[in-house]
Amino acid sequence: MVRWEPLLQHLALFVLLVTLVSLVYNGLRRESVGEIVRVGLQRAAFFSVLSILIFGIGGWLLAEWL
Amino acid sequence: MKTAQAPPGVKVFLGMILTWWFPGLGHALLERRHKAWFYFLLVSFTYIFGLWLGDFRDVSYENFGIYLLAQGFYAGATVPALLLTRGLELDSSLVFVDAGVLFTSVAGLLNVCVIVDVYETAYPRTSPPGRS
Repeated sequence: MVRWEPLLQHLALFVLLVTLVSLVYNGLRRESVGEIVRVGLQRAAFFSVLSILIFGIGGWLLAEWL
Repeated sequence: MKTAQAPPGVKVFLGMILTWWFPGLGHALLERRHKAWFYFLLVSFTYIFGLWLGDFRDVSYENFGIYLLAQGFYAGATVPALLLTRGLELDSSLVFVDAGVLFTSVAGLLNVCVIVDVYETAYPRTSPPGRS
């Protein structure tokens, strides 16, 4: 049985961490804060969804196999 | 390649050292005030949020010694955290202490990016990066 509350808490922490890293990293060699925020959030959304899909499906398959 | 109006090396070096202690201070020194505030707020939020997640017990030489290497890149937060929280002990099970250690360590490593960006701001490369 899936325990939703801790799962969602960790998911939220993961998305927050990806967003913070993306915002700082995309500030490198950019001058405008508005552009940094726009590009940073776009890439954070992309990598969050991609990694949740990969780790989520991979983790589910691993759990089924074990 | 250095531009014609590049700031003196001493100023850039000082900016990088100041950034090690307070993210954004180097950018403020180079008159990039918006970026200075942006970096200061982001990195400090990441660090303080991590401290809060770990119930202020996740900056510790005894318990998380190896992580101090990463946390130490934000010296302006790690030194006070070490001093102010040294009396606290891990005497109960904390659900998010590992996440807290992760967030504080990542904040330190993000500050390395900010330090590098001080140099990049002072001496911008001539060729643009392959970005949209």
